[in-house]
Amino acid sequence: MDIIPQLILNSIIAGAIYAMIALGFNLIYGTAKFFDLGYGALTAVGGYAVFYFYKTLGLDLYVSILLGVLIVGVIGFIVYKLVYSPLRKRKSSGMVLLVAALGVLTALQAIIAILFTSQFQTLSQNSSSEQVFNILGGAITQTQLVTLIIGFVIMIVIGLVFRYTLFGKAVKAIGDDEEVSKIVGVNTENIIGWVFFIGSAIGGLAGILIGFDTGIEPTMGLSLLLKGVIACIIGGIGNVYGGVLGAFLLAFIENFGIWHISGEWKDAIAFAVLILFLLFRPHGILRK
Amino acid sequence: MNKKIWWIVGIIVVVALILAVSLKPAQNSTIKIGALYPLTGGLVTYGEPSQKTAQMVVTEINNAGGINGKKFEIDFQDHKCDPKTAVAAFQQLNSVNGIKIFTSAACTGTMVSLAPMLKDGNALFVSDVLSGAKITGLSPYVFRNWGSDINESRLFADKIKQAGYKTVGVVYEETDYAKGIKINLENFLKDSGVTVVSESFPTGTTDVRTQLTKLKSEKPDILLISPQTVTSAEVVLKQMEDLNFRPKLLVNDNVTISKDLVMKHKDILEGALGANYVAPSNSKTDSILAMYKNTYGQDCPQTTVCVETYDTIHLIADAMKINGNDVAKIKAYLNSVNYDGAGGQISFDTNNDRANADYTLFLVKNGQATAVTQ
Amino acid sequence: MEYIIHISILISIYAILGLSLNLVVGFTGLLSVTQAAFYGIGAYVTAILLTSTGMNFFLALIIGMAITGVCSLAIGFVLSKFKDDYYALGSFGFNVIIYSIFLNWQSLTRGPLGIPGIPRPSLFGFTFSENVWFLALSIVLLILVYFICRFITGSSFGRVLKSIREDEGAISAFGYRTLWYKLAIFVISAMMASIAGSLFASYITFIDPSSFVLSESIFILAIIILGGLANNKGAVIGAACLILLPEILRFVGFPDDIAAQMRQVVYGVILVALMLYRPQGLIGEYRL
Repeated sequence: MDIIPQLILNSIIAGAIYAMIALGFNLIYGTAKFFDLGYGALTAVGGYAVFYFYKTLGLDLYVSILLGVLIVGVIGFIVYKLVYSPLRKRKSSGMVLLVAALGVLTALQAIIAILFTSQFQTLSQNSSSEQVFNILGGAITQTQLVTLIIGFVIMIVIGLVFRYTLFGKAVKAIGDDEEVSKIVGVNTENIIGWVFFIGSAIGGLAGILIGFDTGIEPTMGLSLLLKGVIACIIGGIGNVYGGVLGAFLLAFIENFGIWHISGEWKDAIAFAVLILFLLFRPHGILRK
Repeated sequence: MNKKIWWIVGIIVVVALILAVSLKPAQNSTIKIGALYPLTGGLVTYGEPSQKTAQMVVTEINNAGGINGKKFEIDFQDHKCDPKTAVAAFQQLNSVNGIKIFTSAACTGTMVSLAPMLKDGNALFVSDVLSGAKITGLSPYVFRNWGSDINESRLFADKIKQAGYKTVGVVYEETDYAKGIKINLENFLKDSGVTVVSESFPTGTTDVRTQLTKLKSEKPDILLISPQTVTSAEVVLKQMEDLNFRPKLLVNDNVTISKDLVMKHKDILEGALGANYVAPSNSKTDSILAMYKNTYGQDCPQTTVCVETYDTIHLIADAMKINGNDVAKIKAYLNSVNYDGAGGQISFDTNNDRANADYTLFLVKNGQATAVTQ
Repeated sequence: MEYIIHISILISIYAILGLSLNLVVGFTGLLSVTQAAFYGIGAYVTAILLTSTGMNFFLALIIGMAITGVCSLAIGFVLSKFKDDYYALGSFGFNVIIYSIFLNWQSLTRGPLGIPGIPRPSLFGFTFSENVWFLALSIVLLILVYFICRFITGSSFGRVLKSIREDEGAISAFGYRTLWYKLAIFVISAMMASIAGSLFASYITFIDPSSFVLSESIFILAIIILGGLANNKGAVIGAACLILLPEILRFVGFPDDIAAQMRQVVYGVILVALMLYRPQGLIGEYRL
C-alpha cells in the first residue's frame, strides 16, 4: 500500500484543526498584540457547552452548536473586559498579559473540570456510523471535511470583512497602530471587545469540531493553542491567510517528519520549525 | 523597602505557624486514613472513581457504626501523578496530621518516590490501580492490591507465539505504564523471531493518524494498542476507524476496562484480545456497582477500579479494627491476611504484591469483553 | 516536623530557580521561559552519574553545571537573536525540545520510565539521608547562590545588564558588546538552575521528564513575578509564597471531590489578580 495519499490527507486533517485555532488566535493577536493563552481553554469551553446542550439537555444539534459558539464568544468578551482590557489600558507589557492569560487558562480549565468532571467526552452519537470518504486510497471523515470547509469559509469571510467593511478596516487600523486609530476616532475599546468575541467564538467552534472528530477534555486547549501559535508565526502573524497557510505547512512538516523519524518527536519537530522561522524569517511567510 | 520585606516575611512566618498549630493530629473520636489519588491531570480517569468509591465505603462503614465505635474518615489529597506533589501531600498527612495508614491509586513513579519516606515504618500504603513492574518488592510498607503488568506482556507474548504471528505492530503512549508494556513484550519476544514495529504518541495528543498510517503500511499480523488512559484509547480507536485500519488487535487494560469504550467501538474491537487485571463479576460486585450508581447517579466508569477500591478500603478498615493505628501490627496483619473481598480472595505474596493477581485474557464479542477461560 | 522540612527544602530549591531566572528576566529584561530545561539537565546529569557510576554528589553537581553551561550557551546564542514576545516564544520552544529529548533519549534517560533510586549526597563519609541535613545542605547552597546573585547584580557587570534592560541601543552605542553580556548572564543563570536540579533529583530520589515540562518554567516565572522582578529577596519570597500557597489551600475546607480543582482555580485567580493589581510583584523594582 502506498501511504503517501493518506499522509497528505492526515496533514490536511491536522492542518484544518490548526487553521481553525490559528484563525481566532491570529485575529486576537493581530489586534491586541499579546499571546492569549486563555484562548486555549475557550476551545474546551465550546466543546463542553455543546456537550451540555446536545447530549445532556438533548437539544437540536445545530441549536446546540449555535448556543455553544455564542457562549464561548461571550465568555471571551467577559474575560477581555475583566482582565485584559484593564491591563492593556495600563500599557502592561506582553509578559504581564501572558501571565494573566495563563491564570485565565488555569482557572477556566479547572472550572470546566468541576462542572463536567475530567472524563474524556465525545460529542458524536455513534462513531462507527460516520461517513468516511475515500480519496485516492486515503480516508477522510465527514466531520474532518466539514472542519476543513468551515476553516476556509471563515478565512474568506474574515478576509472580505477586513477588505470591505468599516469594522474590518478599523480592526486592521488598530492592529497597525492603536494610538493613531484612537486619535482618528476609532472606538478601539469597543472594537477590540468585538474582536475578542469573534476570535473566541472561532476558537470555541474549533473545540466543538474537535469534539465531534475525536473528543474533548478540560485540558485539551494548551497543546492545540501552541500549535496554532506556531502556525501563525510561520505563516505570518497577524495575517489571516498567513495563519491558515502556516497551519497547513506545519501539519505537513509534522506528519511527513514523523513518517521519516518517529512519532515521539512530533512536538519537537514543531518547535524546531518555530525556532528556525524565528531565526531566519521572523515575520513568517506572508508579511502582514 | 526593607520594612516591607520584614512585613512579608512576618506574614509568611505567621501563616506557617498558624498552619503548624492548627494541624493537630487526628482526634481520638475519629480514625483517619490518607488517600493519595490523581484528582487532576491525565490520570483523573482513575482518581475520580477511586475517590467516589472510597467516599461511598466511608459512609457505609460509618452507617454500620464506624470502626470500633469511632468515626472513619479519609483525607483525600491530589498527587497529580507528580512526585513532588505526592511527597508534599504525604508529608502533610503523615508528619503533621499524624495519619499512618494510606491508600493510593495510580502512578508507579509517584509510589517509587514515596517509598523512601516509608523506610522507618512510619506509614504504610495499601494501593490499587498500580501496575508498574517496579512496585514489586519496592518497600515492605507498600502493599499492592493489583496485578503487575509484566503479567500482561507475558500473556500477550504467549498469545503471539501460539498463533505464530511474524510481525507485531505496537502503538503506545509515551508513559511509564504504556511504554513498559511494549518494552516487556519485546523482551518476551526477543528470541522468537517475531518482528516488533512500534510507533508512539505523546500524552494529550488528539492526532495519531500518521503513526497509524505508518503501522498500517507495515501490514502487521496483529496490532497491540497500549494507551495510558481511556482517553487516548478512544482517540486511537476512533482514528483507526477513520483510516479503515482494522487489523487483528491486542489491547491493554485501558481499553477493556471501560465498558462504554468497548461498546462504542465494538466493530473494530470485534475479536480483539485484551488482557486485564480484573475483578470477577459476581453478585457482590454487582451490588457495589449498583450502590455506586445509586449514590452518584452514574455508572462506575471503570468497574475494576471501583471494585478493588471498595475492597481495599474495607480491607484497611478491617485491619484497623483489629490493630488500631499501629503500622507494624497492620503490616503483620496484611502479610498473613486472607481477605474475602468482592473481587476475590486478597492475600499478599512475599513481595507485598497481591497473590494470584493474574491477568485474565479477554475476548471482545458484540461490544462486550468476556473472559477467556483457558 | 518532617512536613515543614519538606516544604522548606522545596522552597530552597525553587528559591534557587527563582534567583537564577531573575538574573535573566528581572535584571537583564530577557523574557526567558525555559528555565525548567536547565533545571532538568542538571537533574538528569546528576541522576545518571549517581546511579550508573556511583560518583560523589558534589562532583556530579559540578559536571551537571558544566554540561548545562554548554547547552545554555548554544541555546542562549540562538535566543539572543530574538526580542520580547518572540524571545519568550523561542524559549518556550527550547523547553519543549529539551523535554522531548528527556522523554525520547531512551538509552540515556530511560524516557517516561524515569530514573529511580537516586542516592542522597554524601561528603567525607557523611550521608545527607536525614531530611534535616538535606535541608541544611539546600540552605547552604541557596545562601551561596543568593550571594553570588547579589554580587553579580551589584557589580559593574550587573549595571551593564540593567542598562541593557532599559535601553540596549544606548548601551551598545557606548561600545559594550551586549551579546556577550546577555550570553554570559544566560549561562550563569542556567548553571544555577542546574544546581537546583541536582538537589531535586537527589532529594526526591526519582525523576522523570514530567517534572521539567513547560508549565514548570511558567511556574518559576510566576515565582519571580510574584516576589518582584530585579529583586533577589523577592525571588526567595516569591518561592516561599507559591510553594506555601497550595499547602495552605490544602487546609481550606473545600468539599473533597472538588478540592483539587478548586486549588487550580485559586491559583489561576491569584495570577490574574496579581497582574491586575500588583504587576511589579510584592517587592519588585522593575515592571515587566
